[in-house]
Amino acid sequence: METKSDDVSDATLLKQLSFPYSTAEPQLSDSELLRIDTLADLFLNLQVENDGSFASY
Amino acid sequence: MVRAWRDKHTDGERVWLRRSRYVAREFAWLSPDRQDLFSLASSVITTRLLPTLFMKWKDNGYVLCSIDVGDAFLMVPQEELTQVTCVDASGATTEFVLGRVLPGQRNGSQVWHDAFSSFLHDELKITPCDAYPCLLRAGNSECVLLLHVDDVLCLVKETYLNNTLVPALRAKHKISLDVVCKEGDELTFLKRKHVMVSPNQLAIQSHPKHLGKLFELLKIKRSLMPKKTPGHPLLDEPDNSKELDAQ
Repeated sequence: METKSDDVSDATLLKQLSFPYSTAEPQLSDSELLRIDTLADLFLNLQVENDGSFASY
Repeated sequence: MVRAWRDKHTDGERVWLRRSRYVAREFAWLSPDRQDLFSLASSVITTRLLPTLFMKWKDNGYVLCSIDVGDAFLMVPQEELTQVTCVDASGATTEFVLGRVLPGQRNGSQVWHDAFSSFLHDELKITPCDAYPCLLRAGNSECVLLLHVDDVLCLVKETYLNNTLVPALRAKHKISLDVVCKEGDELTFLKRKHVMVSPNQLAIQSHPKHLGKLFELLKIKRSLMPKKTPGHPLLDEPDNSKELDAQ
Protein backbone atom coordinates (compact mmCIF):
# COMPACT_ATOMS: atom_id res chain seq x y z
CA MET A 1 0.00 0.00 0.00
CA GLU A 2 1.43 3.37 -1.01
CA THR A 3 1.52 5.96 1.76
CA LYS A 4 2.16 9.67 1.90
CA SER A 5 5.62 9.08 3.39
CA ASP A 6 6.40 6.72 0.48
CA ASP A 7 5.44 9.50 -1.92
CA VAL A 8 7.73 11.96 -0.15
CA SER A 9 10.65 9.56 -0.03
CA ASP A 10 10.09 8.58 -3.68
CA ALA A 11 9.99 12.22 -4.71
CA THR A 12 13.12 13.02 -2.72
CA LEU A 13 14.99 10.08 -4.23
CA LEU A 14 13.82 10.94 -7.74
CA LYS A 15 15.10 14.47 -7.28
CA GLN A 16 18.51 13.18 -6.21
CA LEU A 17 18.62 10.83 -9.19
CA SER A 18 17.81 13.63 -11.66
CA PHE A 19 20.46 15.79 -13.26
CA PRO A 20 20.02 18.80 -15.55
CA TYR A 21 19.73 17.78 -19.17
CA SER A 22 22.49 18.43 -21.68
CA THR A 23 23.39 16.62 -24.89
CA ALA A 24 26.02 14.53 -23.09
CA GLU A 25 25.27 12.23 -20.16
CA PRO A 26 26.36 13.54 -16.73
CA GLN A 27 30.01 12.93 -15.88
CA LEU A 28 30.39 12.06 -12.19
CA SER A 29 33.36 10.99 -10.12
CA ASP A 30 33.54 7.32 -9.17
CA SER A 31 32.52 8.03 -5.58
CA GLU A 32 29.59 10.22 -6.62
CA LEU A 33 28.48 7.61 -9.16
CA LEU A 34 28.59 4.92 -6.48
CA ARG A 35 26.45 7.10 -4.22
CA ILE A 36 23.93 7.73 -6.99
CA ASP A 37 23.86 4.05 -7.98
CA THR A 38 23.16 3.06 -4.37
CA LEU A 39 20.23 5.50 -4.37
CA ALA A 40 19.01 4.15 -7.72
CA ASP A 41 19.09 0.60 -6.33
CA LEU A 42 17.21 1.78 -3.25
CA PHE A 43 14.60 3.51 -5.40
CA LEU A 44 14.05 0.34 -7.45
CA ASN A 45 13.69 -1.74 -4.29
CA LEU A 46 11.18 0.76 -2.90
CA GLN A 47 9.16 0.49 -6.10
CA VAL A 48 9.15 -3.28 -5.77
CA GLU A 49 8.07 -3.11 -2.13
CA ASN A 50 5.37 -0.51 -2.80
CA ASP A 51 3.60 -2.07 -5.74
CA GLY A 52 5.20 -5.49 -6.07
CA SER A 53 6.32 -4.59 -9.56
CA PHE A 54 9.76 -4.82 -11.12
CA ALA A 55 8.67 -2.48 -13.89
CA SER A 56 11.23 0.15 -14.77
CA TYR A 57 10.57 3.79 -14.04
CA MET B 1 21.53 -4.74 -11.44
CA VAL B 2 22.17 -2.68 -14.51
CA ARG B 3 22.39 1.06 -14.10
CA ALA B 4 22.12 3.61 -16.89
CA TRP B 5 21.28 7.21 -17.64
CA ARG B 6 17.81 7.77 -19.07
CA ASP B 7 16.63 10.85 -20.94
CA LYS B 8 13.35 11.59 -19.09
CA HIS B 9 10.86 14.33 -18.34
CA THR B 10 10.01 14.82 -14.68
CA ASP B 11 7.68 17.60 -13.54
CA GLY B 12 7.77 18.98 -17.07
CA GLU B 13 11.55 19.30 -17.01
CA ARG B 14 13.92 17.31 -19.22
CA VAL B 15 16.55 15.57 -17.09
CA TRP B 16 19.08 12.76 -17.06
CA LEU B 17 17.73 10.18 -14.62
CA ARG B 18 19.95 7.48 -13.14
CA ARG B 19 18.04 4.20 -13.26
CA SER B 20 18.67 0.75 -11.83
CA ARG B 21 16.90 -2.29 -13.13
CA TYR B 22 17.09 -6.00 -12.65
CA VAL B 23 18.72 -7.79 -15.58
CA ALA B 24 19.61 -11.46 -15.60
CA ARG B 25 23.03 -12.46 -16.89
CA GLU B 26 22.94 -15.89 -18.40
CA PHE B 27 26.08 -17.57 -19.66
CA ALA B 28 25.83 -18.89 -23.22
CA TRP B 29 28.67 -21.36 -22.63
CA LEU B 30 26.54 -23.20 -20.06
CA SER B 31 24.12 -24.32 -22.79
CA PRO B 32 25.69 -23.49 -26.17
CA ASP B 33 23.35 -25.67 -28.25
CA ARG B 34 20.00 -24.13 -27.38
CA GLN B 35 17.71 -23.91 -30.42
CA ASP B 36 14.77 -22.09 -28.81
CA LEU B 37 16.15 -18.58 -28.77
CA PHE B 38 14.96 -17.15 -32.09
CA SER B 39 13.03 -13.93 -31.64
CA LEU B 40 11.50 -11.75 -34.30
CA ALA B 41 12.77 -8.22 -34.74
CA SER B 42 11.93 -5.37 -37.04
CA SER B 43 14.23 -4.10 -39.78
CA VAL B 44 15.33 -0.59 -40.66
CA ILE B 45 12.96 -0.54 -43.65
CA THR B 46 9.86 -1.35 -41.61
CA THR B 47 10.71 1.24 -38.99
CA ARG B 48 10.30 3.75 -41.85
CA LEU B 49 7.14 2.08 -43.20
CA LEU B 50 4.69 3.07 -40.46
CA PRO B 51 5.86 6.72 -40.23
CA THR B 52 5.54 6.96 -44.02
CA LEU B 53 2.03 5.48 -43.98
CA PHE B 54 1.13 7.82 -41.12
CA MET B 55 1.98 10.84 -43.23
CA LYS B 56 -0.27 9.47 -45.97
CA TRP B 57 -3.17 8.40 -43.73
CA LYS B 58 -3.19 11.07 -41.00
CA ASP B 59 -6.04 12.90 -42.70
CA ASN B 60 -8.15 9.73 -42.32
CA GLY B 61 -8.01 9.78 -38.51
CA TYR B 62 -4.79 7.78 -38.04
CA VAL B 63 -2.17 8.69 -35.44
CA LEU B 64 1.34 7.36 -34.90
CA CYS B 65 1.98 6.06 -31.42
CA SER B 66 4.87 4.50 -29.53
CA ILE B 67 3.97 2.22 -26.65
CA ASP B 68 6.38 1.46 -23.87
CA VAL B 69 5.44 -1.67 -21.96
CA GLY B 70 7.16 -1.05 -18.63
CA ASP B 71 6.70 -4.53 -17.24
CA ALA B 72 7.05 -6.46 -20.51
CA PHE B 73 9.26 -9.47 -19.73
CA LEU B 74 8.25 -9.30 -16.07
CA MET B 75 4.69 -10.40 -16.91
CA VAL B 76 5.82 -13.66 -18.51
CA PRO B 77 6.00 -16.70 -16.21
CA GLN B 78 9.36 -18.40 -15.90
CA GLU B 79 9.45 -21.62 -17.91
CA GLU B 80 11.96 -23.44 -15.73
CA LEU B 81 13.35 -23.08 -12.22
CA THR B 82 15.85 -20.20 -12.37
CA GLN B 83 18.00 -18.99 -9.51
CA VAL B 84 19.89 -15.69 -9.60
CA THR B 85 22.30 -13.82 -7.37
CA CYS B 86 21.66 -10.08 -7.13
CA VAL B 87 24.58 -7.77 -6.33
CA ASP B 88 23.64 -4.18 -5.44
CA ALA B 89 25.82 -1.06 -5.69
CA SER B 90 27.12 -1.54 -2.14
CA GLY B 91 28.25 -5.09 -3.01
CA ALA B 92 25.59 -6.86 -0.91
CA THR B 93 24.25 -10.05 -2.50
CA THR B 94 20.79 -11.61 -2.34
CA GLU B 95 19.61 -14.91 -3.81
CA PHE B 96 16.30 -15.03 -5.70
CA VAL B 97 14.32 -17.73 -7.47
CA LEU B 98 12.65 -16.03 -10.42
CA GLY B 99 8.91 -16.39 -10.91
CA ARG B 100 8.87 -14.20 -14.01
CA VAL B 101 11.24 -13.60 -16.90
CA LEU B 102 13.92 -10.93 -16.55
CA PRO B 103 15.51 -8.99 -19.40
CA GLY B 104 18.85 -10.59 -20.21
CA GLN B 105 17.64 -14.18 -20.08
CA ARG B 106 18.58 -15.79 -23.36
CA ASN B 107 15.03 -16.83 -24.23
CA GLY B 108 13.51 -13.60 -22.80
CA SER B 109 12.78 -11.90 -26.14
CA GLN B 110 11.28 -15.03 -27.63
CA VAL B 111 8.94 -15.88 -24.72
CA TRP B 112 7.86 -12.23 -24.44
CA HIS B 113 7.06 -12.05 -28.16
CA ASP B 114 5.05 -15.27 -27.98
CA ALA B 115 3.15 -14.10 -24.90
CA PHE B 116 2.44 -10.60 -26.24
CA SER B 117 1.38 -11.67 -29.73
CA SER B 118 -0.92 -14.33 -28.19
CA PHE B 119 -2.43 -11.65 -25.94
CA LEU B 120 -3.03 -9.34 -28.92
CA HIS B 121 -4.65 -12.18 -30.85
CA ASP B 122 -6.86 -13.43 -28.01
CA GLU B 123 -8.00 -10.01 -26.75
CA LEU B 124 -8.09 -7.89 -29.89
CA LYS B 125 -7.99 -10.32 -32.83
CA ILE B 126 -4.77 -8.65 -33.97
CA THR B 127 -2.86 -11.07 -36.17
CA PRO B 128 0.69 -11.16 -37.55
CA CYS B 129 1.56 -10.74 -41.20
CA ASP B 130 2.53 -14.19 -42.51
CA ALA B 131 5.52 -12.88 -44.43
CA TYR B 132 6.71 -10.50 -41.69
CA PRO B 133 5.43 -11.65 -38.30
CA CYS B 134 6.67 -8.68 -36.24
CA LEU B 135 4.17 -6.58 -38.21
CA LEU B 136 0.63 -7.17 -36.96
CA ARG B 137 -2.76 -5.69 -37.80
CA ALA B 138 -6.34 -5.66 -36.67
CA GLY B 139 -8.96 -7.09 -39.03
CA ASN B 140 -10.06 -3.84 -40.65
CA SER B 141 -6.61 -2.25 -40.67
CA GLU B 142 -7.67 0.28 -38.03
CA CYS B 143 -4.47 -0.67 -36.21
CA VAL B 144 -1.04 -1.76 -37.46
CA LEU B 145 1.62 -2.66 -34.91
CA LEU B 146 5.36 -3.08 -35.32
CA LEU B 147 6.95 -5.09 -32.51
CA HIS B 148 10.63 -4.92 -31.72
CA VAL B 149 11.00 -6.91 -28.51
CA ASP B 150 9.32 -4.63 -25.95
CA ASP B 151 9.23 -1.51 -28.13
CA VAL B 152 5.97 -1.05 -30.02
CA LEU B 153 5.24 1.39 -32.83
CA CYS B 154 1.62 1.67 -33.78
CA LEU B 155 -0.25 3.27 -36.67
CA VAL B 156 -3.81 3.39 -35.44
CA LYS B 157 -7.11 5.18 -35.79
CA GLU B 158 -7.37 7.55 -32.85
CA THR B 159 -10.80 6.21 -31.82
CA TYR B 160 -9.52 2.60 -31.84
CA LEU B 161 -6.45 3.65 -29.85
CA ASN B 162 -8.46 5.38 -27.11
CA ASN B 163 -11.46 3.05 -26.95
CA THR B 164 -9.99 -0.38 -27.64
CA LEU B 165 -6.22 -0.74 -27.72
CA VAL B 166 -5.17 1.31 -24.69
CA PRO B 167 -7.87 -0.07 -22.34
CA ALA B 168 -6.98 -3.65 -23.34
CA LEU B 169 -3.26 -3.08 -22.83
CA ARG B 170 -3.77 -1.23 -19.52
CA ALA B 171 -5.87 -4.11 -18.22
CA LYS B 172 -2.80 -6.33 -18.31
CA HIS B 173 0.33 -4.17 -18.55
CA LYS B 174 1.87 -0.97 -17.26
CA ILE B 175 2.17 1.09 -20.39
CA SER B 176 3.05 4.61 -21.30
CA LEU B 177 2.52 6.05 -24.72
CA ASP B 178 3.43 9.01 -26.88
CA VAL B 179 1.18 10.01 -29.73
CA VAL B 180 1.97 12.03 -32.82
CA CYS B 181 -1.07 13.53 -34.51
CA LYS B 182 -0.29 17.19 -35.09
CA GLU B 183 2.56 19.58 -35.71
CA GLY B 184 4.99 19.71 -32.76
CA ASP B 185 4.11 16.25 -31.41
CA GLU B 186 6.94 13.78 -30.90
CA LEU B 187 7.56 10.19 -29.89
CA THR B 188 10.57 7.94 -29.42
CA PHE B 189 10.88 4.49 -30.98
CA LEU B 190 14.05 2.39 -30.95
CA LYS B 191 16.02 5.32 -29.50
CA ARG B 192 15.00 7.61 -32.35
CA LYS B 193 12.89 10.69 -31.87
CA HIS B 194 10.07 11.16 -34.41
CA VAL B 195 9.01 14.79 -34.55
CA MET B 196 6.21 16.14 -36.71
CA VAL B 197 7.89 19.31 -37.88
CA SER B 198 5.10 20.50 -40.16
CA PRO B 199 1.96 18.96 -41.71
CA ASN B 200 4.15 17.53 -44.48
CA GLN B 201 7.34 16.71 -42.58
CA LEU B 202 8.18 14.07 -40.00
CA ALA B 203 11.81 14.19 -38.83
CA ILE B 204 13.45 11.04 -37.44
CA GLN B 205 16.47 11.90 -35.28
CA SER B 206 19.01 9.84 -33.37
CA HIS B 207 19.90 11.07 -29.89
CA PRO B 208 22.98 13.34 -30.01
CA LYS B 209 24.68 11.27 -27.30
CA HIS B 210 25.17 8.47 -29.87
CA LEU B 211 27.10 10.87 -32.11
CA GLY B 212 29.25 11.89 -29.17
CA LYS B 213 30.09 8.26 -28.44
CA LEU B 214 30.80 7.62 -32.12
CA PHE B 215 33.18 10.60 -32.20
CA GLU B 216 34.88 9.20 -29.12
CA LEU B 217 35.22 5.69 -30.58
CA LEU B 218 36.56 6.95 -33.90
CA LYS B 219 38.78 9.52 -32.16
CA ILE B 220 37.32 12.38 -34.19
CA LYS B 221 38.22 15.77 -32.77
CA ARG B 222 35.18 17.95 -32.28
CA SER B 223 37.30 21.00 -33.03
CA LEU B 224 37.90 19.85 -36.62
CA MET B 225 36.00 21.85 -39.20
CA PRO B 226 33.77 19.70 -41.41
CA LYS B 227 34.76 19.64 -45.07
CA LYS B 228 32.53 21.66 -47.31
CA THR B 229 30.53 19.63 -49.78
CA PRO B 230 29.07 20.96 -53.00
CA GLY B 231 25.37 21.74 -52.78
CA HIS B 232 22.95 24.47 -53.67
CA PRO B 233 22.23 26.67 -50.60
CA LEU B 234 18.53 26.73 -51.43
CA LEU B 235 18.35 22.97 -50.67
CA ASP B 236 18.15 23.86 -46.97
CA GLU B 237 15.30 26.31 -47.48
CA PRO B 238 11.63 25.29 -47.12
CA ASP B 239 10.17 24.24 -50.47
CA ASN B 240 6.83 25.99 -50.83
CA SER B 241 6.41 25.28 -54.52
CA LYS B 242 3.42 23.32 -55.81
CA GLU B 243 3.58 19.55 -55.25
CA LEU B 244 4.22 17.34 -58.28
CA ASP B 245 1.18 15.61 -59.69
CA ALA B 246 0.90 11.87 -60.45
CA GLN B 247 2.70 12.28 -63.78
